[in-house]
Amino acid sequence: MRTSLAVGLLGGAALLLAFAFLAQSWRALALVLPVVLYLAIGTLLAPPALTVSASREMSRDRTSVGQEVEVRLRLVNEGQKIASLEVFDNLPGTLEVVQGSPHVHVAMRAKEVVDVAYTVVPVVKGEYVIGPVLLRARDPLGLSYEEDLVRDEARLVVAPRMEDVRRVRVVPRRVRALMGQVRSRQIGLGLEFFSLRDYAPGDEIRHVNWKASARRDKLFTNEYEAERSGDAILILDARGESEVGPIARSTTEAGIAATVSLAAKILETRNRVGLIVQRDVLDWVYPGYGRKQLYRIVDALVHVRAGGEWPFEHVTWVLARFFPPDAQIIIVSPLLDARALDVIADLRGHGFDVLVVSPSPVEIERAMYGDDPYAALAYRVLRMEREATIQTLRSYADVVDWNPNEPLAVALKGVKPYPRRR
Amino acid sequence: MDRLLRVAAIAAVVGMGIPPMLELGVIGHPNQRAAAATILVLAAIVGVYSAFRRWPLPARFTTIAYGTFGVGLGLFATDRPLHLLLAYVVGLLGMNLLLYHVFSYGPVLAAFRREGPLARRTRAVVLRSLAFSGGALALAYGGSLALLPLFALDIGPRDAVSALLLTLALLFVLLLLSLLPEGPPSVRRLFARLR
Repeated sequence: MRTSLAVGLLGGAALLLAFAFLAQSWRALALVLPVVLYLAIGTLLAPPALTVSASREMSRDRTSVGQEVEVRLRLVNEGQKIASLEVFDNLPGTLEVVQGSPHVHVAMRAKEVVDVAYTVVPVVKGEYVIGPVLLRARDPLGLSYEEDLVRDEARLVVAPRMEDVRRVRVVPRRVRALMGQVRSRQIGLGLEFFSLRDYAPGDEIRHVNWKASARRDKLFTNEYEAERSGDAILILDARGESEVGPIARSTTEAGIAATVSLAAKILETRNRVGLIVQRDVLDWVYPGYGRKQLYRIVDALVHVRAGGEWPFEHVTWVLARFFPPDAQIIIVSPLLDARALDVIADLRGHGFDVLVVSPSPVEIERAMYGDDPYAALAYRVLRMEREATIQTLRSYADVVDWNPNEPLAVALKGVKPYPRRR
Repeated sequence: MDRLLRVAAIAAVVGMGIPPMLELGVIGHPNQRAAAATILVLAAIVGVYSAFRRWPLPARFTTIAYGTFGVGLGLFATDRPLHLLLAYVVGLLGMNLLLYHVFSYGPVLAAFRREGPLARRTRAVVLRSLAFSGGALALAYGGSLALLPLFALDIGPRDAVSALLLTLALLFVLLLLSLLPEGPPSVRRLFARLR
């Protein structure tokens, strides 16, 4: 195929030719010569038809935000020698190249094998397609090229960043009959001492409290606090109006990271966890146990992108109809609209225990701007407004005001393991 | 190297603007001369922008403006010798070629932050392309000078056209010899080596 340079030269030569005839000047006609000669030399150096095959290998096909993935693209030239082959491996914009380059120019001899290696780091979670590979052979004079698109595509699933919140105690207050790790404040099977009672025939000997028995000269038996499991429902506010900041550091991405970290933490302590995501559509994962449930939640969160303008009230509707009534509700929202506050009050009215984890949009915006006095003033005003909102909300729920530039565990430290009864 | 290419392209754009500026002296009317100078300055700015943004298309305007004043005035007003005009045409060709190389190779060269085998290979390809381009331009200029006597042949009343046709026919035969499978092996080997 001809390049724009070749077309331009041909056009220029044609114009000069026409002008020479009009002016009847052989001197003008002679000026066409270098252009014609250049085009002729270019024709001789035209690149051959491309017969290059490409295959891609990746160090992993599932990763998480911030982890390096090595990509190796193997090119095999099955045709003639190529003086200049441009190789462009098509990457999504949210994969940052940290080593090597997916865009190179190489010369390839016949049957030569060339490896193009580079390392990418995903900055946003999601499911990405790497490829296809664009191959373009050029002549050195920039007059013609041959192009081929090798449809060798690879998929890369990037899970959200998960924070270590192991030291934080976020547990459901209301428990179910099933065994778990949540102290239920009821007598039953467990490891934590609860009280003493008189020995009754049939009690296990190992449960006899020998010290108390010796003191009172009467047998006493230890009673233990039953450890049960509970339900927690995570509600993620991923509506378009709740998104603030660049995509990699937005409130939505911070919210997703918080949601998956909390889900992992709560599932670890043998509780059931469910998920509701409010975005373009309202989608949910019914509560379940264990590692598989964590994978289901991560799978649901991988594809979340901020969008939609649905009112937040739909969440209450879904919760009341499809989810257990005694579940602990954890809402992850930047609290940017007043209606979200009404919904939280409504949920509290329905008898749910509510914990709000709020990635602060004010801190995200503050980090985006430098030391501007106007920005500092605006920050102070917005900060006061947000504090007032959170203060109002604390009448209904426990609220964690989280600066996404700091670890989530630091913000969650103040959360009581057992929310107070209201 | 990307920066070097860009600087070279900018220098070419500015340098190629000097001859047409010198030709403007023959324009008698001061307003016409000022208008022509303005057009040339604008063309130079567009050319520099084109090199800076690695976008060769706006430089077409620069080429047309430079060609109109440099070659047009040189042909009909100042009556410059033909070898100088040919050199100027080759220079314009070179300027466009350099801009095209900046467009093709610049982003790739700029993307390499660390030294590695692929960065070295890419640089070798770029240097080879530049060398070939320079050789082709020299050949085009030398060939044009060599073919000039053909235009002096006295073959009927339209001798300039005949000379051009003859040149094109010669080139065509040369191409056929090199490209057709039946062509002489020595010529084919020569061109295969060139490729």
